[in-house]
Amino acid sequence: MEILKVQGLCKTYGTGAAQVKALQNASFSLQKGDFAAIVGDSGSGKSTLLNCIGGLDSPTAGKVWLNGEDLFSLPEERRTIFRRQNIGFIFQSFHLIPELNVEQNMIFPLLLDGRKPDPQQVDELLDVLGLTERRLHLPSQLSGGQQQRAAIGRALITHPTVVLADEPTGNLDSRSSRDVMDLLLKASRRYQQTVLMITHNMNLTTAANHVFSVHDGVLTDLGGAQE
Amino acid sequence: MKSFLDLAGISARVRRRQSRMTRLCIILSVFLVTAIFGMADMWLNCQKIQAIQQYGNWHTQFIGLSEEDGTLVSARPEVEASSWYDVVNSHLDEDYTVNGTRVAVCGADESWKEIFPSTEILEGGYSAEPGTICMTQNAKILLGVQPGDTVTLALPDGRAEDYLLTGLFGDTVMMAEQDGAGVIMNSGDYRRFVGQPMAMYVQYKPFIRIHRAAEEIRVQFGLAEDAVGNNPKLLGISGQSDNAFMQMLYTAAAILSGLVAVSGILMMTGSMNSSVAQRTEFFGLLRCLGATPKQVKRFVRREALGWCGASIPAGLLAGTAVCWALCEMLRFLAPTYFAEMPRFGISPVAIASGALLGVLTVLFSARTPAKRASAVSPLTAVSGNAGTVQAAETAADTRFLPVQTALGIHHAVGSKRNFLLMTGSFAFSIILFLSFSVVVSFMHHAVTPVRPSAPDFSIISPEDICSIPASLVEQISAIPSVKRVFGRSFAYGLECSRGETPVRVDLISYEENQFGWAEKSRLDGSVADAEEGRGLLLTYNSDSVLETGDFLQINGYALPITGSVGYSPFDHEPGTETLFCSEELFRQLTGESGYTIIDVQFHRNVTEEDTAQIRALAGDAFRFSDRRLSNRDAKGAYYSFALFVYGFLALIALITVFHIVNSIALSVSARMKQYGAMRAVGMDIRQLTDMVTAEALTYALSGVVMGCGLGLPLHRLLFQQMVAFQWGDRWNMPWLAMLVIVLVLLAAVALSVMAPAKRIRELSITDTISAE
Repeated sequence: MEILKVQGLCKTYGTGAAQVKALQNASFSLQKGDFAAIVGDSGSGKSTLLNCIGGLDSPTAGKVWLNGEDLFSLPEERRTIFRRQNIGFIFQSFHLIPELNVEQNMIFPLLLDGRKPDPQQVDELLDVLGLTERRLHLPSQLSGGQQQRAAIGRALITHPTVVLADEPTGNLDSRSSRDVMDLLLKASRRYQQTVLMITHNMNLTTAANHVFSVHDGVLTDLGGAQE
Repeated sequence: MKSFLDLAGISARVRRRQSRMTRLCIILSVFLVTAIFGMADMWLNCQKIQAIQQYGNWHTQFIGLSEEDGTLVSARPEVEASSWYDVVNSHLDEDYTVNGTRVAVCGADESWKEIFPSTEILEGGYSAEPGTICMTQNAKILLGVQPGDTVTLALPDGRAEDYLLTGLFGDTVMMAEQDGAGVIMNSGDYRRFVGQPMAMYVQYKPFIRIHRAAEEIRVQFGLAEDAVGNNPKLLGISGQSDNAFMQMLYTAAAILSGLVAVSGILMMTGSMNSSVAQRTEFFGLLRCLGATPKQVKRFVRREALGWCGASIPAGLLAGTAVCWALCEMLRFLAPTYFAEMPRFGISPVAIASGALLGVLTVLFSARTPAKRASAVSPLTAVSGNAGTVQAAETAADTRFLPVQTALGIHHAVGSKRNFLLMTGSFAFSIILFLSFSVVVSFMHHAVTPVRPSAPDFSIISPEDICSIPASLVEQISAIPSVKRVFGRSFAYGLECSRGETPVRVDLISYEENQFGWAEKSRLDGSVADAEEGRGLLLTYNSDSVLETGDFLQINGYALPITGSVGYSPFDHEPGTETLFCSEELFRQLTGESGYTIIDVQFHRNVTEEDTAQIRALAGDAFRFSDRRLSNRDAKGAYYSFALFVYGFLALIALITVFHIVNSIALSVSARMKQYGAMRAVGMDIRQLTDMVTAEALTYALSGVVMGCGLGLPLHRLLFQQMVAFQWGDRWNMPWLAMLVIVLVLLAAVALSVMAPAKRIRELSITDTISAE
């Protein structure tokens, strides 16, 4: 079942001599449960692609369908609501709200959606993430790995169709990176979620069933898992 | 945590230090509104008490109603109290007498005490029984009567009747000044014996539209339009006057209140905008996590309302405390007048308006920051480009000024929007100050202060001749409650000449006290020379033919005019010059050694026995005038108004200073990283301070230009409404107010640079670079 379809996506910054083509005619699609990775150098356009797919940035041209809905045909307000219900984000710098504890950070997207968190579901997710003991801790009281696990919990709590992860292990040591990757994989399998992840680390693409490469804004499908 | 909005509260607790300035802004705005409304409420109450004391607690009077119609009017639902009332011979110029002494006679119902509460019974009681009367307290001294006596009231037509005196009530201002007594008799006797028609005085219940109610009564009972009178001062204070000038004053009050509210909004918007600007990344993150722009707006509004929680009560408390302090000051300055003011009174109007305007101002102020926050792109959070300082559009011009000064000016004018906002808000403070300074001119016209020379009690020669023995001054000054006694001799219409030109002169003798007061209004020449008997002192008037240095021939003496004064307490008669000289010179010129008038000023502990003693010392040959009551009223009115006006101007100056200090502090906070970088490349602390000073001065100077440009026309408009319309004065450039503004601004700039300079000095370069 096709969940995500990207068609002819372009993003250009500036005009005239200062024009930069950050993304050129990118197209691909993902099925439900796919775990895809995007690799590429710094400044190649990976993050631009992810931000456009996630609706954080608007493409210059092209379309993104998520669950059959044309993302950029929706007005801003509805797109935001659609985004928070269907897309989970994980960032390299975690971006947890420093004033909220782990549990509060995790349930925050639900509250934005006016939904009441299911305590059982929250407990289960905390358990899966190994954060049950840390549920009342503030982000400043956690290690980097724990913070990223809390961010994963926040991305998964709404049961999104797609999870977009922008270098989720970029700020972590190798052990924490492995833990986070295992967790991401485990969670996506458990909740049948499609994951699209940017990474610098080719080793991390082993778990992916689809790998894309971006170079100077051009997307290339590298096919299945890379050894 | 039940809703995403709860984050506002959690965040506020964590970020208490960062939101301190915004909370201070709210406290200050609420304080300002509470203090202003509290002071206005206090002032209005004072004025109301004074109006009721002076003119009575009635709103309208109806002349020509029959007794039956009067009963119907009294029974109307909108009428709180009513009384029949009339007075004859209030100027003591007709032969209405009691035991042979002229009196004013008034007729009233028993309910007159509600309508004229100042007429308090001091001895005995009031009786509505036919054949009884009450008199003013001074009847005891003037007529030697007391309650229980039978007195004979005689009319100019020769009729006379005996009445039982049942009580004595306090003297009225008019009776005290004329040294006469008044009689109050019941309306039945008054109608029958005095035979004058009586008017019905009506006091309405609160919140009644008085003019409409009076018109209904007039139409219902078929009265002519001029048969309805009103109590203009009480109506004016109750906000019910239809007088064109009062309407102008109401408009002016509305404009000034509006200015206060806008000032609060500008101050808070600036502060909240900075708070939002410093948290761009946070709002971007909220958007990233799925908050819609509407939700971000709600978040900012909730956050603002959260600040209200503690700030509004603090502002209310501070405002009320200031009102209490002012009330205490009034009680100290004029205890007789303000003794009845509650010591720790709460003004519901001030509390309600402070709280309501506080919340509304906060909500209104949060609109722009909320809009700005909701417009933050979700990308801001993930791109790492969130900054609090807007990108520069042009480079700073460093050709003519030192680089730090050029940069400071560029920081101020670099962003047009920010520059306009800052300049606008500074200008607004100036507009507010200029607008309120008009009230000072209004006060000088509307409320006359009691001059230091004003007497409390006077002994007057009935024929205006020098018949009062000078030795009386010494006798009176021996009474302990007497503060000062001074006499004057008058020689009216002396025929003199200046060279060949005949001049008509009123010559008045002064002693040291009076020469001392004259010195304060000296225009030219010397007052001391006149005091020492070497010449005469001239009172300036526009049609005067004399000037300082002229020689005047008076009764064979050639005397120089040694100086002139701008103010004289005496009426000027056209064609006659008023000249002052020493007592010794007066005796030489006129041969008179007695006084025409002796003025007495008392200490606060004066009693009725003391004035009786003075009367006894002077004897029956002279008239007396007791001005204690009218002086007390004038003092009270002046103190309350002056305190209100100057207090308010001081508050505005304080707000302006705070606003500038706050704005500069916020601007510096936003640029801390930049300053850190500048220090890292070699800029020293003095140069950094210069840069901040240049920025602050740029805002202040452009604020002065904009504020004066917009404030002066408004000053002129308000002046025309509040002063020119009533007193015909011409508008002049308010140089003094403008000078005060510039000084306040310069002081504020100096103050605003101190804290940031200290902050920059105390932080290490690396800390500054990493400062949030």
